[in-house]
Amino acid sequence: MFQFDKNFLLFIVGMMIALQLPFQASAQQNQRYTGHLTVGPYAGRADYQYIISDQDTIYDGAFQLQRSSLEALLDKEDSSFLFQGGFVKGIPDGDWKFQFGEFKSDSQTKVIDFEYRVRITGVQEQGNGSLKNGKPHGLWNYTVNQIKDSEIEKTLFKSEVTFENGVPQRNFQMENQKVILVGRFLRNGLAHDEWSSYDVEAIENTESWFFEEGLLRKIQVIENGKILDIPVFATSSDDYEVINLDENYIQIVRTALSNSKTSFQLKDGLPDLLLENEGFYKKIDSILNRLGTADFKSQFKVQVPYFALDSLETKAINLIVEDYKNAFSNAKSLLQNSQLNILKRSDADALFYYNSLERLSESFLEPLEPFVSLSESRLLQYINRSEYINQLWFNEKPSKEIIVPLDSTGRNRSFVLPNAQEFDFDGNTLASMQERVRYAKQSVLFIQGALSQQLTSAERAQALVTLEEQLIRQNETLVQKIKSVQDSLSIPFQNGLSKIQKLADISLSTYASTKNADEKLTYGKQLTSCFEDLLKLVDATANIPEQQEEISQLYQDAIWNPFMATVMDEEVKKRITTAYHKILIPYFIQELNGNLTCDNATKLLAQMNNTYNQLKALREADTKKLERKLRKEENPLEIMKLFQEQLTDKGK
Amino acid sequence: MKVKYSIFVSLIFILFCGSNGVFAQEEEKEVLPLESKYKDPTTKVWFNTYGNIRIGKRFFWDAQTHFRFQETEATPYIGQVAQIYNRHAIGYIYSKKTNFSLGGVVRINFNTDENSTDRNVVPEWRIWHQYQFAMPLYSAMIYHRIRIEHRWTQSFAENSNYIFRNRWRYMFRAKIPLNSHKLKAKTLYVSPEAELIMQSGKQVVASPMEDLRLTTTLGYIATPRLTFAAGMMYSMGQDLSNGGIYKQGWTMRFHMYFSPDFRKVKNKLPEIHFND
Repeated sequence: MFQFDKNFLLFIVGMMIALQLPFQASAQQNQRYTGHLTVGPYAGRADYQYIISDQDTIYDGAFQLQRSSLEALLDKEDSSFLFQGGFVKGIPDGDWKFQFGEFKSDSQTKVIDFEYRVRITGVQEQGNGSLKNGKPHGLWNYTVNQIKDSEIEKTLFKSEVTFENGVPQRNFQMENQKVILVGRFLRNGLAHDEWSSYDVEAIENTESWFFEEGLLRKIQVIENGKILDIPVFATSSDDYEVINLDENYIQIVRTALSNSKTSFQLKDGLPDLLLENEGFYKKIDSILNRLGTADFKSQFKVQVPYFALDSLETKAINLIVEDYKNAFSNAKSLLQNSQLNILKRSDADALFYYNSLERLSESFLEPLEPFVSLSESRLLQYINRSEYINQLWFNEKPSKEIIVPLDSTGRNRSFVLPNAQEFDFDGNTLASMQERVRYAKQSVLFIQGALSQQLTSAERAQALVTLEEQLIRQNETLVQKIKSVQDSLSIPFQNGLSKIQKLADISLSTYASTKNADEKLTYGKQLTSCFEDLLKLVDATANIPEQQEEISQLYQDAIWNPFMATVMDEEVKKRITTAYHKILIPYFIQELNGNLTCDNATKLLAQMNNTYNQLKALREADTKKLERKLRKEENPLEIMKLFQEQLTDKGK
Repeated sequence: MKVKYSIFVSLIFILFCGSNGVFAQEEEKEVLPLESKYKDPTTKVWFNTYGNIRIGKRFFWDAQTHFRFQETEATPYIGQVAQIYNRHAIGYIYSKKTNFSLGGVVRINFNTDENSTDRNVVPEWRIWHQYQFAMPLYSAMIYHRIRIEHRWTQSFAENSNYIFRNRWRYMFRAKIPLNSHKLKAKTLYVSPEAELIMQSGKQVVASPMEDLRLTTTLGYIATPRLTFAAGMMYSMGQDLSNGGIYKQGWTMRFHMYFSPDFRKVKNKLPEIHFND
């Protein structure tokens, strides 16, 4: 629509170069950008300062990115955010503020002084503090407030942590709706001394974690005035490792507690609070890292005992995990197999195997699940494995003999793997554990083998039923179709259609008289595709008279007869149409009425359809040669070949 | 269409006025009988081929060859060759229903008078032009043909001079399909036709009506390019030398019409769609 002439384009290019010059010249001077910016999932209006270095835009100076929409707020709700801070050569530095809001409004506006005001309700998160070299430095606050009618209704979360060059220092405190936690760190970020947590609902109930240079020695729980001390890493270990206080650490603590034969189980409150805080820090870290180089993690450090894994252990563990996964997935697929679930109702053996599988899963596989999960998270080196394995089958040692109740009368039947004596379950070592898992895996495979015969025959019977329904439906369709077209056709065509029906009938009785289920299934499947072809063949046959008429019409050329002063239709390419009408169509009818089988029905159908399509295509083709060749040709197969050749030659 | 018909009407008008002029100049040469005399009809057989060969978008070559036999005492019925007739013209297709032709005829006349001692064969020359109009009427077609010939003839007598005459011919013809609702391939049709041939010239004194031909033909359109027809014609007309004497004839006519088109054009039809 717009057409620029050359001069105008030159002008534009010139202008662009001219505008570029100041940028080049003042490459080291701060520039300011205001406009749209997208940072990860956050898109909004940005206002920042930057420098150009090696043609890269590098943030330097004040930075702000925000989004809020009054329109969205009034309409439904608005997700707003504000990131405000500064950079020094691409690295976040100085005071920063992060705000995230999810607000709704009551859509009531008020004018106060010279402002429109809207009351909002929702949740606002805010994190603020100072950064040095991209790392938190000084006090960091993170608060999540629930807002109602533009006022803070309650504080959902709050944390205050002091950092020095990214390392948490001194005292910290955090709280959410359930727990309040206070504690302190050493200068190197390791948790130290007592970390006390209070139940918000019942302030007298406390849970304190006692750290010694990051090592959690004990947990003291005071509940209803009773003091309970639970040692965690109380005994000294040869080796220790410093790790982050995160989900994995909580997992290690839980495992250590389960080893120590106490009934105490770690409550979720304190770990959840720590993880919640961790989540907020990660959120800020991901934003800062998209803008520049930063390391904004909470970096709470702890120490744990370290039990190195030697190569033999590693190998054994890998085998256990592999066998476990194999047994687990096979057992699961069998237990969920719908055929088996039906079969077990009527077949005693199936029921027995099904129940054995269930027991096998319960006693061999389920207890192993946490071990596998620790292995997957690569935490086994922080676990005292001999203690751990000892308590894995704490409740019940798995037995090679799996006893399954047969019925309500109390009769039992037991499952034992035939080569059970080859397995050594003795002791609570990785080796015996490996044996147990192997036993479980082989048992599942054995049951799978025993059931497969029954399952396949049940599946086959079901398949036959479905197949027969389909065949009957197809035959009915065929009968209806033939009935509906037969009357409008001439006798040879009618006879042809009767032949098709006869073939369908004969095939069905052959199917019915086949005794062998396998053969029956194979034959039945062939029949369904044959019936599909027969249905198409009926259509193709019924269409022939109409198609002949169409072809006759197609091969007409209007010409002017000077003697009659009249336009007349003249038949053209008569050799082709004659071959079609006088040789091919009679051949098709003859084939229909001849020895029609499922095999040649497909072929005949293809011939009919091809011929019709070829005739349509040949009308416009240059067929002089073909017509010459057709002069003496009377063999229908040769004629079809000639048609095909003509059309493919032309394609070349 | 209007133009076409006005041409047609004025041609008819000219034709009749011309004839009137001829009558006005009538001058007795031979003694006219008190009553008109009709000679005994002769019987003739004509074998005619009509070729209509397309040579261009709007042009065709009209090529007709007729063999005309006339009975004699010795050869009744079929008779002996009386004339061999070559008529050619270049035709112009004005529209599907209207065409014009202009060309020449050379006719070889054989002397069928067994008693004559004159020459056996003499040529006859003509220039002719023709205007043909077709009109559909229900399932049939009707045709008007005006043909004007400028004719130089001589008698069989040795050293006889050519005499010049003009012939004014109008033919009305219909073609009515019998086994179909229109004229198309594989159709049998019947064609009644009437042609009046008037003549004028110095030699024509009292015999302007050269021939009146009434014919009925039965035809068969074998293909759009080939038609066969056969018919019987009764004709009567004044003797040139004595206007009081009328010749009569019964002629069996056999026709073959062919219209090849050797042009290598894809669609041969639209070229003639002009004003219909």
